[in-house]
Amino acid sequence: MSLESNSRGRGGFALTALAVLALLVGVVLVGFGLGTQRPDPPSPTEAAAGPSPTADDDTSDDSDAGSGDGASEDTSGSTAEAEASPTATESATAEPSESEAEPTVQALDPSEPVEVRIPSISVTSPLHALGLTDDGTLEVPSGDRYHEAAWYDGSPTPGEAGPTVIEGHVTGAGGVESIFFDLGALEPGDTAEVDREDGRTVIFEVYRVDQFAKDEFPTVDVYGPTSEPELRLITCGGEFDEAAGSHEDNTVVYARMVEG
Amino acid sequence: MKKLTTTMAALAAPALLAVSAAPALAAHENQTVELMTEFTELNDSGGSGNAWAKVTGNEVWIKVEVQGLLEGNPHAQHIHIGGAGECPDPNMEGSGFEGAIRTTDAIDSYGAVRVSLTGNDADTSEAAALDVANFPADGTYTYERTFEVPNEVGQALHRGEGVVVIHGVDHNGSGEYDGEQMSDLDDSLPSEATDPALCGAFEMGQMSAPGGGVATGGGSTAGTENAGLIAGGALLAAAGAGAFALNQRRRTDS
Repeated sequence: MSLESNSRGRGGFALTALAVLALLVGVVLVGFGLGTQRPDPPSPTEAAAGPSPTADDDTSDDSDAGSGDGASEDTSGSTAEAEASPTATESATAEPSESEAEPTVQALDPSEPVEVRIPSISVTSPLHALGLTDDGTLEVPSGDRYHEAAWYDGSPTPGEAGPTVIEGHVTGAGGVESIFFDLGALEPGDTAEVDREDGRTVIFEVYRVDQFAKDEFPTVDVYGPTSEPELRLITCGGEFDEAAGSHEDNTVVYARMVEG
Repeated sequence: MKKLTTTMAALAAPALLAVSAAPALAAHENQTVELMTEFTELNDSGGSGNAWAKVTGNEVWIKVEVQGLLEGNPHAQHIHIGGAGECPDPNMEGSGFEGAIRTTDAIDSYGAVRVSLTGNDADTSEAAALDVANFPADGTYTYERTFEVPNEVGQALHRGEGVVVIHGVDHNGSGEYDGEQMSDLDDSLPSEATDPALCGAFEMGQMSAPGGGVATGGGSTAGTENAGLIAGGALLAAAGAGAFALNQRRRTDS
């Protein structure tokens, strides 16, 4: 009796140990699985978002938000080109580069973009030109260039007056991260650099990051005319609508030219 | 934002068809110009919004989005042409309620009504400027329509001229158009009904603006890629817990 009890006890102990081990390993696996789960793309912070899509004009001066950096890395010498400035941009051009990089810069002649870099989210991508689809919506990168950013060829070239539109996917099939996955993490003061065919590089400074429901996309706010060269970086964001097979929102980064 | 007003919902079917046929104008042999404007608030109306138009020859497609005006009362809306082609300073002293700007006070700024942005397939000429029954009657609405304009209006729009003005301001906060002062445009209407609430001078667009949102997403990142790992782990944990419990019971039984 005692022998049997003993053997059963020993067997029971081994079984218990095994059970506990299995439990522990299982819990660890679940934890690891959840922990390494791919996160949703970042959404813009409240602070980065603009007041409302209907603000009259963006007179808010963001020059204290990191524009000093922009000025200090002015080594391109491109500011020497003081040709034809009908507006009061002469002073900005004539000032030494120590001065605050005013939002007033000189617009450039057209030249198509070839590469975009967004250092703060480690993005570097060649650019190809895309147009509109038959229903008037923006074409999106596909095929071999799915994971590359694209320039909307109906929008101004970077450095021309008006909003240059550059778009990229947030995710690909199966939810893999694409080129603009981290776009929503950008903050005012971050920069984006766009190389042009003519060899010049235009630097834009982010002044607003916002997220809009696709069915309430503020067309005039995003694509509307601007007096100076600006940039719009666009991707998807928000909840993924399984039924529709797409994200519900668009993330839009607004930037203005500070150097070129 | 409400997509359609009650007025818009009451649109006759032909008008709806006209609206849905709007994007078909790109193939026109005439050049298409795009005009856009963000509205400036006048008379502390509490509103905001914008307008976007595409003009091909004398055909105009326009979309007007308005938020925050007086609910349940009609908002006359027009394209003015002439004057200085601009909106008045919102702080200008007008002849209306406590210095409010009345429509004629700012005529030098935005000129005269040349297009009435009516619904229900109604007349869009200046003759319909106060066609109250056919203007949007919500505080927040989206208006969209395609229509023909006279030659000189089409030409002015092609030059980037035109000021969009939305009317109707509840100065005294009564919730409706009332007050002692009658309108400078029609003395059978309270001045509140025709005083300008929003104003936006068209600017030439710098691109053919894409419609709607952008389809830059491929797939959800919501929890499927580690499904096997998680399921396996959960199974193992459950088995372990089950075996442990079973074993404990056996030991207790004995």
